[in-house]
Amino acid sequence: MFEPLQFSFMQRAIITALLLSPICALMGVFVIARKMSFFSDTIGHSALAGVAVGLLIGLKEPLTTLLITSLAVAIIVFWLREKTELLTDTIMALMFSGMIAVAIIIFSFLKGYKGDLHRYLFGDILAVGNIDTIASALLFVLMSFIIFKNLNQFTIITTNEELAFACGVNVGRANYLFVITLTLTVALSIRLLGIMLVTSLLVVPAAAARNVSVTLRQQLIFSILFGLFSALAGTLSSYYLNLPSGPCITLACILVFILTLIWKKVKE
Amino acid sequence: MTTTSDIHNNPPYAIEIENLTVRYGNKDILKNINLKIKYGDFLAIIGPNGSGKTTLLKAILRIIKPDCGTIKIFGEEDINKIITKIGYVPQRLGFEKTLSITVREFLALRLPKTKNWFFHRFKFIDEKLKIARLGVTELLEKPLYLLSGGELQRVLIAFSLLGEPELLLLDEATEGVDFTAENLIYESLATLRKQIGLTVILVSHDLSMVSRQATNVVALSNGVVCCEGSPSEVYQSLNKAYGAHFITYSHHH
Repeated sequence: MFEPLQFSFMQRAIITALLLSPICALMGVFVIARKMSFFSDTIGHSALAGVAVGLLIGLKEPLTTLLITSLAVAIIVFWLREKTELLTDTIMALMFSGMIAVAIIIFSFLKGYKGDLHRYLFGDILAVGNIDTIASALLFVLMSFIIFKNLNQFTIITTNEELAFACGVNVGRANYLFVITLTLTVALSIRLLGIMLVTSLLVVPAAAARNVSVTLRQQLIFSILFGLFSALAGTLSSYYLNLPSGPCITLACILVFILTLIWKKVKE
Repeated sequence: MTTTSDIHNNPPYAIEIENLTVRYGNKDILKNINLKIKYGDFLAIIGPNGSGKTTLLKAILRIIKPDCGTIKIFGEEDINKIITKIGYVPQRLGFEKTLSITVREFLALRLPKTKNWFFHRFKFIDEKLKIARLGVTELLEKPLYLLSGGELQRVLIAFSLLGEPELLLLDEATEGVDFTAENLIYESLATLRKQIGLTVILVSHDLSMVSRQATNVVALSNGVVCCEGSPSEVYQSLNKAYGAHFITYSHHH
C-alpha cells in the first residue's frame, strides 16, 4: 500500500490527485445541475490546442499556454452566447471542433512529440511535475476560497438566474466567476486525467452523490468524498497496473457511480 | 412601526414609469407605457396572452432592458440600489432534478444575513415562516423538484418575503394553486400590506380575484395600456369597449 509513496513522482501524483479531486467534485455538483458537462468537455479538448502551441514555441512545460487557451475559449463561448442568437450547444461544438483541428495541424508539424500527445490525451502520473503540484496547491487554496465565498451565489444562479437577479446577485459577474473557476479546475486536471477524460472527475462523483443524497449539503459532501476516493484509487491502480492514470481514475469514478446506483435501487 | 412611506418621504410614488417602450426586433412589445403606483397599492396587470404583462414586470426589474423611457422605483432609477427591497415571484419556474436542494436550503439563500448556507443551521427559518403563514413549514425537508405546482408557488412567495421586500412583483402567482392555498397567499399579502405598507404588483388572468384583492387595475392590450383605474372602473370600461370578449379571452388563457 505504502510502497508507491517512496517514489517522488508518486508523491506528486497522489498529492495532486488529492488536491484537485475535491475541487472538481464540488464544481461538478453545479456543472451537472446547470447542464454544463459539454462545456467542460469543450474546455478540456480545446486545451489540446494550448498544449500544441506551447510545444511549438518551444516551452518545456506548456501549462501557461494551456491555461491561456482554456480561459480564452471559455470567455469566447460565453461572449458568443450573449452576443449572438446561437445556441450554447452550437457554439461549443464550433469551438470544440475548431480547436481540435488547430491542435492536430500544429502537432503534425511537431514530428517528435507523438509520445507527449498520448500523455496529454489520457493522463500520466509520471508527467505530473513539481510545477503541476504547486499549481494544484495554489488552485486548491484559491478555489476553496472562491467556492465557499460565493457558494450562495453559485447555488442561486444554479436554481434560477431570474430569481438570482431579483435577489440582487450580479448574475453576469457570478456566471463569469463560475466559468473561470471551472476552466482553471479543468485545465489543471488535464495532467492527471488527460484531455479525453477530464470531465469524468467533474461529473461522475457529483452524479453518484446525487444517487445517495436528499439535501444539497449531502450532495456536496458525498461528491467530495467520492471524488477523493476515486482519484486516490485511480492513481494507485495506474501505478500498480502500469496504465495511464486518466482511464484508471475514470473507471474508479464509474465503479462508485454503479455502487451508488445499486444502493439507491435496493433502498427503493 | 416604521412603514415604507415613512422611509421614503420624498418620492410620492413607489413606482413611476414614463414613456416605457420595449422592442423585440422590429416589434414593439410595450409601447409608451406611463404608470404611477402609490405606496401600499395592490396593482393588478391584466390582459390577454402576448399583451406584454410579463414583459412589463421584467422591465420593471430590468431583467429585460427597456429601449426607451424611465422607470423609477422608490424614486431611484438605478435598479441595483433598490434591488434588495424588491421581491419577485416568476411565472412557472421549473427546478432541475439533478440538484437535490431542499426547501429549507433554498429558503436559506434568501435570508438577508446568511453568510453561507452550507454552514448555516437555518433554525430561525421556521420562525419566519410562521409569520408568513403560507403553510410552508411542513414542506421544509422536501426536495424542491418534488413540489407540486401549488406548493412551489407558496415556497417561492415565502422565498421572496424572507428578503423583507417593500415591493413585491408576482407573475401569475396563483396559477395551479388550489383554493385554500390561494386564500393563504392573499391573506398573507393583505397582512403585509397592512403591517409594513408592502406595495404589490401582480400579473393575472383571474378577474374575479383581481376585483376582490387589487386596489388598482391596468389592462394591457398589444403592448399599450387600454384602461386603468379601480377594479370596477376597469371592468366597466372593458365591458363597454370590448364586450365579453376581452374578459372571456383573458380568463381562459
